[in-house]
Amino acid sequence: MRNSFVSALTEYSKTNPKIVLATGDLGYGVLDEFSREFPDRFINFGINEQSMMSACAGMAKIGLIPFVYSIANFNTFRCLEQIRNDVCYMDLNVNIISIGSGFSYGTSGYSHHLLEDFSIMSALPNLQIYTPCDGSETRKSLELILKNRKPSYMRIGKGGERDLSMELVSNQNLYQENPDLIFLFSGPIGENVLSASKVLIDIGYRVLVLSVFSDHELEINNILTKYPDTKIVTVEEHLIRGGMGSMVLEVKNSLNLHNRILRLGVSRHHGTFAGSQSFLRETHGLNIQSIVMKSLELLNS
Amino acid sequence: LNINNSKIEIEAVEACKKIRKLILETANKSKTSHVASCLSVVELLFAAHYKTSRKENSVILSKGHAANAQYSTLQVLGEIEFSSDLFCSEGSEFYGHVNHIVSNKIPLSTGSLGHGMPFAAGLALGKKMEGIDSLTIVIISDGECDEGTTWETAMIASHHKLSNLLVVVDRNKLQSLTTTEDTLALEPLKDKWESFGWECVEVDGHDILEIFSALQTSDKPKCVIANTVKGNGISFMENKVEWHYKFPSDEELFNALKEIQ
Repeated sequence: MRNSFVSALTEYSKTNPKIVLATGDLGYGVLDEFSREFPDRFINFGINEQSMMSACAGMAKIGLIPFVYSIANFNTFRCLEQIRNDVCYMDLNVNIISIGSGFSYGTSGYSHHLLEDFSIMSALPNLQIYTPCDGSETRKSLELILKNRKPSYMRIGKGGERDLSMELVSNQNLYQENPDLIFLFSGPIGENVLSASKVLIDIGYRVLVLSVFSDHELEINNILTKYPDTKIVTVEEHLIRGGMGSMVLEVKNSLNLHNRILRLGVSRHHGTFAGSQSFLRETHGLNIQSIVMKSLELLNS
Repeated sequence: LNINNSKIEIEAVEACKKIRKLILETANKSKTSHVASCLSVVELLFAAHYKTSRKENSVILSKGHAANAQYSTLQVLGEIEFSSDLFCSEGSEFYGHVNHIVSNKIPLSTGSLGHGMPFAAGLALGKKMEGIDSLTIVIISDGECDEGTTWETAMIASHHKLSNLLVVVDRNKLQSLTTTEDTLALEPLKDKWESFGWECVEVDGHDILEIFSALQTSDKPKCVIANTVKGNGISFMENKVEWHYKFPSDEELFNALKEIQ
């Protein structure tokens, strides 16, 4: 995903001279494509996320289009007030690209787990949020970011994620009419969701799988309006509280619908131990088997 | 040059009297605090904006709690429509800290300390990248030198050779509870800036000609330490921590305005 982002950004920069890529001293080997091509528009600020964020707001003020690249907590929580005041309230075209969604940096421990960002970022004014699941959605998100001219936040995984776009299209072609169950997911956890859906489909259920990666509230509104009484399982590598699934409950409530909704995500962050991404997903009930079992309970209830 | 200077000085002194009066009337009417912080920064704001009115520079007031001074200065310079009954009144965009919504002369809303300087450095860096010939002047409080972003940005600005950036420190030596030196000692402040690779000069922050001559760029980012008096111009407000919080009563306003005649 990070390579998709950097390649696409480099490509856009060939025709858009306003794009600037800023990093807080991260991205070894990942940002080279851009920095080689545009050394004058690549700024490694050093390890100072707060000042970097405000400075990028200043650059946006005179019409540049900064992308602020860093890992997980560093360009989000470390500089949250700078994002809130200088970027969002000022409504400036600063684009925050955070890699390491969920447990991407599982073995690095608690400081590097990104599990609360959707909740916190979705509370900020003017900020457009993107939660792509693979390289294709990362490129689509970037296209939207460059069109919106607003403050944007994109959370992406790390590297090597499977591209899900073809599988999602074929699933939707087969099951968009009268599904027994809909999976709504955000982010790279989609690979487990698709695998879980295949198990359920093999058993005989009609299971529709939808990724919600931009304009979340409107997307969810459209989906619930189209499927007003279908059972729904939301899946995200994020805290359940304040996550995409919580937004589904809010929208359901405001539309006065009666869908049965099960939210899967991280109910409590056990951050005291290390593990690979797949180990930590399993620990928090986001492995394929858990998703299948929980979904069957909902289907059978 | 001397004739020119004395003309500017007369104009500036008169303007600063008007600004001080409007600040005091506004604080009285709105019953708001930070009047002493406003009075220390009058000449600095006037000088920074006076230059701006002749050339399109950017002026940022990072000590956003002196919003009353920012609005009063822009009103006296004819840049905005501001009056004492607008400040902090119900539904007004002239709230108690600087709001960019009210004027395109205000590049950044402030209120949380330590935001103006990095934002200004970004503006200056962007102008340099884009070949825009324009200065960025940011006025920070001395208490703001407690913030980490001040020193992060001091490094960023000298690393990127931002000679188009001017930082003015309103060195009134008082902060929220007591003196700067008893809170978190700043001295030797000039040495600190110089050691970060900045040109640094000290001026009398109430002497308009000294300020004007200091607001010239060099080949480095430049810091102007403006020695000021908190509550300047009003004898009973000067150097008193309590006037960080109090607003002048009708009687105090009457006495204060008499001192400005």
